[in-house]
Amino acid sequence: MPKHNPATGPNRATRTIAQAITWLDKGFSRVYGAGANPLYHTGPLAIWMLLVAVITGVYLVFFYELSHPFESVAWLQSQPVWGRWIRALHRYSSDGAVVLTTLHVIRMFVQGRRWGPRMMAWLSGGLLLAALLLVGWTGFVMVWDGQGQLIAVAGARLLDSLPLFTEPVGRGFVKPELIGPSFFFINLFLHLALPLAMTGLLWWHTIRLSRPGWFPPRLLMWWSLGALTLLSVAAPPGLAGKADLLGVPSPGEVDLFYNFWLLAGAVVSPGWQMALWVGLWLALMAVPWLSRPWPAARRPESWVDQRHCDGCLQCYLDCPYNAIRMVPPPSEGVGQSPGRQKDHDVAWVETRLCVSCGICSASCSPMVIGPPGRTGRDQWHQAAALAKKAASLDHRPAIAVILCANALSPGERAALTGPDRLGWQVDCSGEIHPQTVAYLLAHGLDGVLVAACPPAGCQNREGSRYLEERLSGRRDPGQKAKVDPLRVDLQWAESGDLPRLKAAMAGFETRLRELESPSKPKRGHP
Amino acid sequence: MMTPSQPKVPWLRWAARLTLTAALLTGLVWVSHTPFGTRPAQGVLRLAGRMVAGKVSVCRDSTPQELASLPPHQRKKKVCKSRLFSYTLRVAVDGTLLADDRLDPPGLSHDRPIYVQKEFALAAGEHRLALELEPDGEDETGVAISGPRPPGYRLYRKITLHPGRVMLVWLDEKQGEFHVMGEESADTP
Ligand code: HEM
Repeated sequence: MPKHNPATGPNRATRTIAQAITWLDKGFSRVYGAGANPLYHTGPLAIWMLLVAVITGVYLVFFYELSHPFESVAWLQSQPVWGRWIRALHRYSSDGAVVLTTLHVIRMFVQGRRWGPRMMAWLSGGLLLAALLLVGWTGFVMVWDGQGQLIAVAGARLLDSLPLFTEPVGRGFVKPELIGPSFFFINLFLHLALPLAMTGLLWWHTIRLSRPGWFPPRLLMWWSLGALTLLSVAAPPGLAGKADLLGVPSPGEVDLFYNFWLLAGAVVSPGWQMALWVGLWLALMAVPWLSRPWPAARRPESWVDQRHCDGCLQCYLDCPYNAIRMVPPPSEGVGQSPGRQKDHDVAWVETRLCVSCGICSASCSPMVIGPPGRTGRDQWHQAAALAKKAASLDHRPAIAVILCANALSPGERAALTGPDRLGWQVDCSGEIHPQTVAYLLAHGLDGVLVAACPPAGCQNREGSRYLEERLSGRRDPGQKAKVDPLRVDLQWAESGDLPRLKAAMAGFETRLRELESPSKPKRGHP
Repeated sequence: MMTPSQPKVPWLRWAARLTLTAALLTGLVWVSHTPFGTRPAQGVLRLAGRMVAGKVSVCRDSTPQELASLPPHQRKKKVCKSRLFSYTLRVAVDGTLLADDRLDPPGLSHDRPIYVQKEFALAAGEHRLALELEPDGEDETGVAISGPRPPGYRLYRKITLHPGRVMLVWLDEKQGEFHVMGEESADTP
């Protein structure tokens, strides 16, 4: 797998998938609204689906009989509301969990959230995926219909291709008398124990995140639950005939979300199938090592100039990755302004957890934290250069266009800027310090247009939301910056939004011209 | 205007929501119920069994070097290892040889039971089956195994296979014979 260099961007295949995802994101946002776009909440939605599956599963297990597994499921199937429909909801929510997990993995991959501080989330995610598929396997076997028999026998063949067992696992399925309640007990045990293990894994999966979004927005929860309930009523899954070990299993249909691996059975031997699936899973687990950028190409982690840290806690509270700690100030002489011993804790960045999102740069009033070259002070220098350019412009209004690199493609970014629209690209809109914006407005710029990812789609989880809160004075240090709201236009943008952004830019220019006209108040807070 | 523009939700948007949701659900149902595995026209002959009889000691003379490396009280003229006999499985249906396999006992010392597990998909109908499971007098390297030979098993008979059904030929080692199960079709009352 080619290592990707953030400076040159991801490789072609990843870019193509990323483009497809952006296209889908936009389509879904248009239909459901950016806040309730399911594609922005694949992880939390997968948890929600699992929760629905657990609740319906707990209900169903009361009716499950180890001595008559098929008959007990068939009885449930004969009861429409409290049997068939609940069983259907259990099945479809489990299917939904697989779909959403797959989308979640693809998303994390193309967004580059797969190495360094994200490695633990990636590895625990790989275990979660394996556990999810195993839970599905045990679930279908529980029913002990044609599909259950098919995957039980095929699964045993896969296991027997490994030189692990002295007694072949498949021997248990050669004649009916060998399968009894003890087999179904072990299977049921796994079906219940694996989801418990998944809860622990999920905790591990999100342990590195501050405020992990365990649940999707309410609207999405009810919408998805309602849709699946309707589906369960309209098209509940049937039940193939009872498993018969002296018959060739021919269920007629299978659930490919879980049992996709059966397809390989038609083409290759069990040994090769096992090698294929284990190999693919190992490749998934190796992604953090195989695809991380070369050290020289990695963006450096944040650092703090502790001498000037005022201990306000804002960066510590804002960091989406729990990478900032408050520690006792260094003793005099070591990183300390001479003659002044601080009486408060100061910020310290745990570099192994820092993803270099730059969000802390914008948290800091004294502008002393952030990735090298992207702290508030660095931004101030860039802003000064931009203001100088603006002063030499004949064109009015002079607008600074701040563009999030994750929101728009390089071509789109170029199309939005020009000699009279001074462009400034940032790695994440969450790093834009409100004081920088205020500085620009106070030093010759008539307006600032910011194009950032929609909050739910921010690759650094909370960057866009913080930006909005800071610019509107609802989050520090935005309150102090007092950015003139009439002269700032914040646009949520995704690749493909160029026409809309151009129209927004034209509207913004008109507004700024009106503001400059003598009949209108010039600057200020309405 | 600082907050991003939130488009209003006209009825068209709700229609789009419902349509997209319905399309996604249709896809979900389709993949959840993918047609797979039609009822086969053939029948299956399944052989299964487990063999533990035939434990023997395979001995060889110790080499002078081996003897010299041991303290005098541990020196033995012969080194012996216990193992199970290997078997040869031959299956012929209607005179055609379908399998001629050597079955070595698993394990490093070849002392674990031999499991036979084989399936043959055959045309439904009547067939002549010849099945032989004979102990093999040689080990994997071709050295003769001395010791009491375990019994061999044979089955020569007519079988009837039904479409989509399995006929199981099961070795009962204790009784020293093959049992046949599943010869009746699923439709037989
Ligand atoms: C049952 C399956 C899974 C569930 C329920 C799940 C759920 C979640 C949730 C809720 C988050 C936090 C989202 C946030 O607050 O920003 C998350 C993050 C993450 N997931 Fe998963 N996940 C699953 C499987 C996977 C798999 C299979 C992978 C990859 C192999 C993966 C990779 C990641 C990564 C890398 C993050 C961290 C993102 C970041 O640090 O920015 N997940 N997951």
